[in-house]
Amino acid sequence: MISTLIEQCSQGLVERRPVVEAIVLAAVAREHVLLIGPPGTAKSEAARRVARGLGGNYFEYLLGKFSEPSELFGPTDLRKLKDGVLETATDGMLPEAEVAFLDEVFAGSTAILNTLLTLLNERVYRRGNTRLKCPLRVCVGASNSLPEGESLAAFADRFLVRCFLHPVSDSLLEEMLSGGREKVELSAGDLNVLDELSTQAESVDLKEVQPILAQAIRKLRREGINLSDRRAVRAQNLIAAAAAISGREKAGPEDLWPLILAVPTEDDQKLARRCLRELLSQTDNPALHHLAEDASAALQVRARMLTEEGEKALTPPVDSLRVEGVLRDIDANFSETDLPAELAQLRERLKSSLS
Amino acid sequence: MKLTWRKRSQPLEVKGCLAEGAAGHELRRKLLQRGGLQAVECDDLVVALGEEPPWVDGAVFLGRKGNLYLPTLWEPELPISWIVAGLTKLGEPPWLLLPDGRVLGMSEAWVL
Repeated sequence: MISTLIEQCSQGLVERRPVVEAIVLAAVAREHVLLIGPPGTAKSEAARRVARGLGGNYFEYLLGKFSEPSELFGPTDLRKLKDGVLETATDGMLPEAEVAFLDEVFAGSTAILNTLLTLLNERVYRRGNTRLKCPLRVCVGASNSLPEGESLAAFADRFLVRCFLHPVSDSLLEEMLSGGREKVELSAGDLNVLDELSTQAESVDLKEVQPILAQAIRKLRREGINLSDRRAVRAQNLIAAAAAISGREKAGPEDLWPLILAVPTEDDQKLARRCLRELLSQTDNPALHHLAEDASAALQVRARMLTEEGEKALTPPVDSLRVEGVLRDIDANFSETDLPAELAQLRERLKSSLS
Repeated sequence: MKLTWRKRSQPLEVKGCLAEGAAGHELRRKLLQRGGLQAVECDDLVVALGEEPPWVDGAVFLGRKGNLYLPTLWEPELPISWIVAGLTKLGEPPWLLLPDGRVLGMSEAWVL
């Protein structure tokens, strides 16, 4: 179910599948995502699609220096104000959203960011007499860069998952251009599916993975990578969500990889991938394998990706250069003895399609 | 001294490939057909350089570590800097180093 949703949401979005997977992972973990990248890198499109795929109320807003709190949270209820009661009419606004996308999230005023901080953290909206429990599952924030300065750091820290986006690679420009014109028909999802997974994630047993997580955090600290205690603790929510999405009741070393997403900067994420490579070598996830492969470069998830790419390459009309590309990746990554059986069979089919 | 090799925990990114015998002929044919890629030939061994070299069955894919081209799946058990220091006396970098002990200078790769 989640795999189909991810597949549909990623259709035509070249090199953005890991972003789609990150938003889904965060939604299951009840955490928030920050997308950092230049304008025009499909940040909002990825968020919109996941929102539609997950179902529920969606709220989207582009923040600016002059944005008023009412533009996000709703206007003052004038009828009630006549009676001397200060209440906010939140219909259709952020306090009632289940999935939210806030573009230029750090551009908001102090008043907006302070209210947002509580909303993201406690899922509660407070203003005057209004005190509303918010149904927010996941908030996706986007910005061109990470904020500098202490004042915004506390707010930015509420976004546990960090994804860094770059323009599509040169070699995939043709695919991006044709994918960009594709019409994607996304059916609205059922939020209950997400909620069930979140409930399962909450009860995932982390005892086996906690000592390995502690070992990983020690390694990160030795490398000078800044991961606050809060982020380290909350990373467990992502690990539990990864296990639940894989259908596991106990998290193991194969579920440790989301720790990389909790590392706050791009440079530190790169360094963390390198220094945790051995610990992450057992990574596996059947639904989030693009994101897991990005985080861990582990062979199991790479094999899953290659199987998926190979099957796509065999879909008519077959492009021989694309088939060769998959064969090249298989041969460059797996020796004959290490090749998983399913991938070995696919390799034969790819070879036959060239003859 | 014989250089020993071990399997890499993480394969290198593809920066080229080599093929010998019939596979080498096939690689040469594809290189000529596509053009634009740098290549080196030595007896019946053909080496193509680039991030997207043609695929032929039986080819060995190569990655790069500093001035050394190596199979993506294998690494020598000696530090690369020691090996490079030894190879510097033999000619211009970069070099291709293979687990069977062969070393090939890649500085004179030409465009086929």
